[in-house]
Amino acid sequence: MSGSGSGGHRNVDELLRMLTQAADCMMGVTPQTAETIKHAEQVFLDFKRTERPYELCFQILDAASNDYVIFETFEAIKEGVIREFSVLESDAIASIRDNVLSFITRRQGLASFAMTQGLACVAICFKLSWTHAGVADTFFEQAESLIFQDDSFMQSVGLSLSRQMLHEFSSSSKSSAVGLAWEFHLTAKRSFEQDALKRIFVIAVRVLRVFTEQQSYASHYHVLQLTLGVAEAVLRWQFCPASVRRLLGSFHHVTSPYFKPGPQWADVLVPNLCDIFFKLHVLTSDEPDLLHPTQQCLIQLGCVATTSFNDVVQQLEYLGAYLRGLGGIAQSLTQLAQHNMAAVTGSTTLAQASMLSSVMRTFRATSLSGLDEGEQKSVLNTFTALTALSLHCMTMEEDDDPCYAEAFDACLNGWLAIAEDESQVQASWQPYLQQVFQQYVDSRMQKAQRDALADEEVEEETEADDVLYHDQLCGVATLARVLPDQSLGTLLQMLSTKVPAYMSMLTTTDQDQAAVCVAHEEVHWLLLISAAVLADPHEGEVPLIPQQITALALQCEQSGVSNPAVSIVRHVFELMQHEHRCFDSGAVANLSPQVAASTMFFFQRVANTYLLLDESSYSQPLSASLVAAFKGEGGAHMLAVLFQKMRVHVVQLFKDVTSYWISPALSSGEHNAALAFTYTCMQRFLQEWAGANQTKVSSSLQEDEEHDEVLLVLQVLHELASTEYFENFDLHETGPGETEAGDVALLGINLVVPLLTTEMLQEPLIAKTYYALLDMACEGFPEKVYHGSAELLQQFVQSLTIGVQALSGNVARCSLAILQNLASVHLKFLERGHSVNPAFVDVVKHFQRFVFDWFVLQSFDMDLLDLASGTLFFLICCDMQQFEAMCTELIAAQPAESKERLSSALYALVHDNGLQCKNTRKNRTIFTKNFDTFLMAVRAFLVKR
Amino acid sequence: MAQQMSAQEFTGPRFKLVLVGDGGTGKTTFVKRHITGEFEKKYVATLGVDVHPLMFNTNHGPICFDVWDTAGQEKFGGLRDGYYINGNCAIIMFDVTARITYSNVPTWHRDLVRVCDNIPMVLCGNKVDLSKERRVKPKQITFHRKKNLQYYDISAKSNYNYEKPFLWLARRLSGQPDLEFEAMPALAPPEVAMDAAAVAQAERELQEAQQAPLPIDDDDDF
Repeated sequence: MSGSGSGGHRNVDELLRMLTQAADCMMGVTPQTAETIKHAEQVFLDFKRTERPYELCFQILDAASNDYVIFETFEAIKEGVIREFSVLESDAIASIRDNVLSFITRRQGLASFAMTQGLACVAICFKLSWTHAGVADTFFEQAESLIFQDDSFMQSVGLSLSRQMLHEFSSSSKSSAVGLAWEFHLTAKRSFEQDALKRIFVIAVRVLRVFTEQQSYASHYHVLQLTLGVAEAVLRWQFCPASVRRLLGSFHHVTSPYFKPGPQWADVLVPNLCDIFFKLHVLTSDEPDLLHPTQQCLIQLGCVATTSFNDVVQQLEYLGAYLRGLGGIAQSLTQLAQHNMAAVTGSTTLAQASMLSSVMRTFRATSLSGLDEGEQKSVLNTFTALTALSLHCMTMEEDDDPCYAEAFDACLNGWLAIAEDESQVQASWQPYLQQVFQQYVDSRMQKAQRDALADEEVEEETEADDVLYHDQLCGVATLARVLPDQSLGTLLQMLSTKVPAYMSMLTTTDQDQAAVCVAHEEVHWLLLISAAVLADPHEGEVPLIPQQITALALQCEQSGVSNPAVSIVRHVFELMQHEHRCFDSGAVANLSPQVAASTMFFFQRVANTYLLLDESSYSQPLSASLVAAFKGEGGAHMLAVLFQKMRVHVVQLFKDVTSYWISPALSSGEHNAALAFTYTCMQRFLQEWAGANQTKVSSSLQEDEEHDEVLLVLQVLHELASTEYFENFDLHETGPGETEAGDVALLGINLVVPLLTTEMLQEPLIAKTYYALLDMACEGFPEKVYHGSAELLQQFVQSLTIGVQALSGNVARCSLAILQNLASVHLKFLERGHSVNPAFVDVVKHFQRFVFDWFVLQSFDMDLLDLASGTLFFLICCDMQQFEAMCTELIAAQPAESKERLSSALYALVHDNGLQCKNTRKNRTIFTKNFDTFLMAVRAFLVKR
Repeated sequence: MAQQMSAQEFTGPRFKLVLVGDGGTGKTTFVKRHITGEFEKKYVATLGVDVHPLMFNTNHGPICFDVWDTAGQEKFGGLRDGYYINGNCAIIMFDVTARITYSNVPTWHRDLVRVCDNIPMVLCGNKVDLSKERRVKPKQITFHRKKNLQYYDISAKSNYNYEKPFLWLARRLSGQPDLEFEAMPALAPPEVAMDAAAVAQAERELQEAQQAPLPIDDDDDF
């Protein structure tokens, strides 16, 4: 096919016939089989490889009537321009671009997919020459002349073109790959943001305003839909940060939730902008496909960064208009709910809750305080009604539409934005926040009843409620602590009726099972909520009693009333003891594992905070009654009971695991000896297993069984090597002749690795377990692995090469960590003049190049950056000579204008900040910093898309 | 072969379903689960596209989805968006254990809507059976809300929610919100010859699947 660009008409006819035939197959006009599809595919792939295809393509476009052929012809032009960009004159690009656009405007009946493909090609042509004089002006002349015609087809072309421009300039992973350096994309994007983006938005808003003035879209449905699409794409725009460091030459970068335009946008961000979109919300309310993008625009308008406004006055005007608009549509929704609940949809409720959440999280309490009191009150009333509606629907929801639960979470987020900073919470807001807490508790109780009676099977993949609702519970707890006396009072009152009732159910036979189920659910939720209100989740640091609760305790003490926090803990403690008694006496019929688990959750959360009380950690004095309740005899008693319960658990767990391997031997005796015995047994088992495997080379084992067996052994080894589990038993010291976990794991690795085939590593679960096991072994016993046999090392190299390029981040992470550990051993031996493992010298050479290429030249997962830089440091230090050779080679391969840039960046990488190639913490830190700078400098021109 | 003929000759409602998503997210395994009832553990990258007709019996009569299982890996992409044309509906798949596959969802969606405007689409987060490995948490999955798609957590391995995407699409495409599947999907014949025991096993699994809405995880084997 190549070279046919200069072909005459006969060739064009012949080619068109072939393309049409292939298109008929792809469109299902002629029969589709694997063969016909592959054949058709090949016809188009060959066609698109044509060099200088433009003239030929335009001849085909003129003659073709098949939309699929036109689609692929546009694709051929696009691929041609991208491929041949560097040798095409800018006039040639402009002419291709104008020809495509003109073809589209002449073909009114063209299928939308073909039109869009052509416009994507036009947009790419614009982007490739965007920084040339006059190109941007040409775009706007053409786009405006199309959009402001009184012809909906032309309008559609202009709007679709604008939409494609937004795609191409967004320059994240979304733009088309054109084979150019990352800095080209960045420069184009920056330039586009300066002016064009705002101009496109202004055009879109102008079109939308006309719709709101006419209060109808009648025959212009498609135009409205396209315009909303353009507006939404602008409002989702992620502006280049002032410092490009953060982007590190990567096409994937973290997105910010805010719409953050520069100060030149201040004249667009006016109250009237909000009005237009809220009017559109009313106009499109019966048309889901138009309503949805309108709602998305509104959510985005709610999170315009406050820095984009001229001043606070403008900010408050904008906020006021937004909140009035939101109040209006929310009122319509809640009124609709009162009259006709069935007409309320989850998606609309969620959209409005998301608007509430986005505007509150952006403008926060300080801005809300800036509004006058009447406005504040009206806003809070609207929010309360929307929250109540979400909760009500969440409770009553029959099918599994998760929209309402998400809507409540969004509302909660909005409330938290104004409640989180306590100093900003005005006294007049407190009752609203308290009311949301109260509504939440009520609806959880109602939902408990419904769920218990619905008697649905618990889904296997579902997490426990305390995990699933972790964020929700934390959020609700924050609201509860605004008025802690009322919130804890409510909880105490409910616990003091529900818990004794539940306890009596446990010991009474012939209970109504439905009532028991309801009681389980209710007590379960009361425990989760109470635990969340009383204490925060903690990781590592000393957990403190929330300040609001210590203040309440002092208050109670001063006024001589009992502290509800203390009473709640006592109630739950009684419940736990009662559960124990029932368990011991065999009265287990009505015991609920879920409630037992939530009781444990309660104490896990509360015990650390209250029972291990350390007064010196608090800046304010603690209430004496609180200290007495938890630090005195009562506290000691509770602790003793809890420890007893925990001990039973741990010992049981240990027994389960060990008895799995050697059932008879372990009923008593020293843990250390028992464990050593376990390892010895395990060792023997592994040897026998491997021996059996070697003899059955041509065994009758099904492939699947073999995989399962390998996986099982890998999993067992992984469990064994993970010392975490056994840490409690202080088992690290082993005497002479005894076996330790590492030995078993290594033995296992030695035996399993030769049995693993490349094919097995394609199986995700085997790969995951295998790399995790190697990682653990190399972390714990790097020297033992390092000194393994040459064959073993070779196997390692193969599997690590696969692992580093893995699709799954975890496998790649483990592979890098393994390399790092082994390279650090190698370097240590080199530095000390000890003899190194000769097989590892080549391993270093291989991976030094491999890791460098991957992170410097390819697109990579930013999460792995630190690990990769650490690994590379060791690999470079291990063989500086090869690194220098590699650098020389890489510089030589660059075009003239990049040679100097690359060579000075490479020099800086290994010399800046006094870096020395020695294995010290300081050098590693310096290298990480240098590598960061290096990537920033070189990826901009080395990485292409 | 008879069954394949019947899928080919089927004259009732049939819809082209485009299945897209990053390489390794489990698209082919998901489709094969429907065809053979088996879980494919190996990863063999799809080249270009494979088309599979999947039949479903519903209370409104049988329907057929022609599933265009497309290559996820760019280097094997073939015609890429050329396969999407005339698509009636789509499934975008990502892997909940690999964040990058979720962050590429917008690109797949963008390419789809460029070619197929206004078609019903389902976003599926696959491999939820690997709950310890899960990296994309339910709360982080928000893309479907932005683009008005349906979302399901699924597991091609444990069968979790395995028919949900098809059911939702069938309801949307037929305009029948009360549509239900009456039996599990009719078996298309496997492409490789299976021995009688393997066929019986597959049938047994399908029967079990039919009886239990959430069949047991075959992790039990380990």
